[in-house]
Amino acid sequence: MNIEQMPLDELFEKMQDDLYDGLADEVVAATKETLRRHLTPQEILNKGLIAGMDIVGVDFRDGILFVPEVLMAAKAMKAAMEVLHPLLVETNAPKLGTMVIGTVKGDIHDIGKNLVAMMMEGAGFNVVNLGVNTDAAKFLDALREHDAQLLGMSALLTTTMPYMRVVIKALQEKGWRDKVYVMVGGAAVNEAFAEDIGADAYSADAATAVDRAKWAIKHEKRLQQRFA
Amino acid sequence: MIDRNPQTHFVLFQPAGKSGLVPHGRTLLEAARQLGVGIESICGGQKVCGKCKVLVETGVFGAERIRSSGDHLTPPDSAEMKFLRRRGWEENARLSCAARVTGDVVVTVPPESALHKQIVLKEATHLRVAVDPVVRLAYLALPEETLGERASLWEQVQAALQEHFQLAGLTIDIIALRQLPAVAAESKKRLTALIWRDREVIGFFPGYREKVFGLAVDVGSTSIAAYLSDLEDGELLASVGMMNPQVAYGDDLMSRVSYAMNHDDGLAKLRKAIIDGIDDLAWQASERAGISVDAIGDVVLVGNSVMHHTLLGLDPASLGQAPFQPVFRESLNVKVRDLGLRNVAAGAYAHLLPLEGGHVGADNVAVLLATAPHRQEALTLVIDVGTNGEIVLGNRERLLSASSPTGPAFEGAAISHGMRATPGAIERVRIDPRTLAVRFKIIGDRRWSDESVLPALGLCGTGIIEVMAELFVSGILRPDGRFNRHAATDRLRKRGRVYEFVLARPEETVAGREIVVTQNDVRAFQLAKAALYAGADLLMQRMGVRQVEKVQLAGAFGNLIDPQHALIVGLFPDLPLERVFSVGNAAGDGARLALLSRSKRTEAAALAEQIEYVEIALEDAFQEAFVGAMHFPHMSAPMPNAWALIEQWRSGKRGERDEH
Repeated sequence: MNIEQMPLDELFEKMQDDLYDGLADEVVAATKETLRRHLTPQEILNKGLIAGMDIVGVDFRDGILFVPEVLMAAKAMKAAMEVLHPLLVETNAPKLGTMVIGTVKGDIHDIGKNLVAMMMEGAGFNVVNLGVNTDAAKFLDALREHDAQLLGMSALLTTTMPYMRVVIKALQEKGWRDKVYVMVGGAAVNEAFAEDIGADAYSADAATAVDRAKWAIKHEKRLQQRFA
Repeated sequence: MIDRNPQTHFVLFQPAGKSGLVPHGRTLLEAARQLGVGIESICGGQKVCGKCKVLVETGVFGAERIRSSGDHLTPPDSAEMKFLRRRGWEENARLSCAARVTGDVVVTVPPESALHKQIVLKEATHLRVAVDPVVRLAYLALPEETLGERASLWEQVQAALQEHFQLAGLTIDIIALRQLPAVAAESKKRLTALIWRDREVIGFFPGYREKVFGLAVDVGSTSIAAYLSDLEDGELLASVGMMNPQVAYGDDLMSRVSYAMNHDDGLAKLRKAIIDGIDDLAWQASERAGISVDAIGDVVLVGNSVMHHTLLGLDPASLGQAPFQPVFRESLNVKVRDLGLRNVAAGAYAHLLPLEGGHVGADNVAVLLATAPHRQEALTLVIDVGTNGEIVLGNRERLLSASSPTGPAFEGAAISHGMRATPGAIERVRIDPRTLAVRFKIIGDRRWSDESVLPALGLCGTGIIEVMAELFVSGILRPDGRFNRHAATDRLRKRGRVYEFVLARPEETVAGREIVVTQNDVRAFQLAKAALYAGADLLMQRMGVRQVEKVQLAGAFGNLIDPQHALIVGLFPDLPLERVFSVGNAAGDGARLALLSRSKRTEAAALAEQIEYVEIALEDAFQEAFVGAMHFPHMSAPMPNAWALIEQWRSGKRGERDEH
């Protein structure tokens, strides 16, 4: 069936399926079709793209999808976002929140962290990705510059994850600890370590990270403070 | 006739074909040294060892018309006569240390007398080396001490070394010095000195001794392999292996480094674990070869940077994070006792090959020695499949190296039913693409599982590669690595939201044990194989080439990696199957080369300097290369050779190389 004749619920379903399969062109076409039908960009984002990425996230967590498929889906999402983004800015649609994310100093691995960044974007967050080998000063500068509520730190190596503690200490010294929700993850990290260094959350995978971030923005009122 | 000084004679050594004029009265052994012909000698001309036997030819030889005859040598004295008779040697045999030149002669050095014997280190890979170890034996008969004589016992040893071996200015190890009086007393001052690099006496044995042994050790993150060799003829006497005891402190390198960082005695424990392990292997190997551990006079150790640092007791913390700076990089000789090794001659040295950079360590230098891409025209990719996969790309022009953190999947860890390559491990797997019937073979058994119930325990590295390739070819695994729930086999069953494959049912193993490949196992394998492929891919991009001419697959597995299965899963960029070679434990082979040959140690030092280390995780194209390689055989590269093989297998036609 031609998408122009497709009922809306089917169209959203198709958009989610195509997103799941990483078919960028099809997702963009469906996005444009929904716009043609005068849906708001916010509605398209929520019912089509974010709902689709939620399924991708869960299936990745459960081992049904793997890294390449998730990246393909994220790329398709990104392509559709390029269509929606100007409109979202125009309509002043609020972002869920802003996350500064990076792989900590001494560590040069970032595929997992990039997945989290893409899933966060897909979920409607503004994401500032600092890349690899990020030191405390760089994290702090970015938090202030972007007025971020969320800090995501990643480490693949057991030898580099202790640096997360250094960053949290730096936050404390600045008096910023309460203004930021600190999330950690990466192959070497676990729940116990996160607790030990005084992080707010540990996430084993991108989907869980998105859930925690959403929860924090909704429930942690302290995050509304601004940086001095 | 050649016009010449009548005080010289023409001597030709065969089969070397080396000839020249030698002063009247020189021994054949001296003549050989003068002309650069290597002849063995342990007793240094004391007519004790018989290692310097040569055969004197009679007749007219060569363009120079050399008239050779046994008469052109001084006749054997009674001691030599006795020796020749007792051994029952050929009529024309002489001791080259005793026979002096009095006329022109042509002499044949039989293979057993030749120094630097060429030996075949490994039949499968045609690996050869000229045996030239750093230690040698010297038999010494010291004079009885006389009244008024001032010389010390050590001075007598020095004098004998000077007189019979032309060795001057040697130093002596303190342990060897302590051994000296007891050994001399026990054997009426007839003893054999163990000498290192012609520079230092490192031990003594009572009486005449003609064998000294060496231990080459490949210290891997997951497994340690040790090879005991006869240092005279290079013969391999025992190969032994074990799980690296450091595994108790962490599966991978980084967890070991962090163990050292986070515990006060962490480094000490890591060091002790590895040293005790090597000691244990030295003992096992000597037991198996039926020799005393004191007869192990030399040791070569190779390992990645973290193994190297921890066994030396060097803080590995800086290897734990970018930019991965080592404390020390050059090759190193260190007394075994300073390392804490006990089951080796106490005065002996251990030699550590140099490191390259980052995590590419001495083990990769050893791989290079064994595979020798630097001696070839063909652009070669050498892949060492292990926990820390090392990759080398190059030829005689240029060499690049990289390390791909594959994780321990290839060595059986991080796989549900994975295990080391020991008896009982499944090493070969076949799945019929049409009937989906499964059969497998285990280490230590010639039978296939469809013939009899085997004592299978788990999957080792080669088995893991094969089962993944077979599952993919037979359509049970999809190219993206997900189990195909539509596959028509009851071995596929659901667990949670995903599927798993029962490779061996309880009734198919002796212990009634099930051996399963889970979706997570496939994912771990995909990451590991993609890391290798991406490493190779990025080195090729750096070199500016699109294809290599040759792939050499190394790995410390029980058996060789099958090139066909490796090509099918996409372990490396595509190329014709006949250009893929499996070379076994090249790191172990390289360690043996360095043990047997001084020049290989020099070569190793030069290689470590020459090679360019690339930190692939920092390359811009890394993520794309890595992710693309996670599919079977690849997500975007065309892989024509792999696909041709896959199609051929799917149509039921397998090559003859298939059945091992």
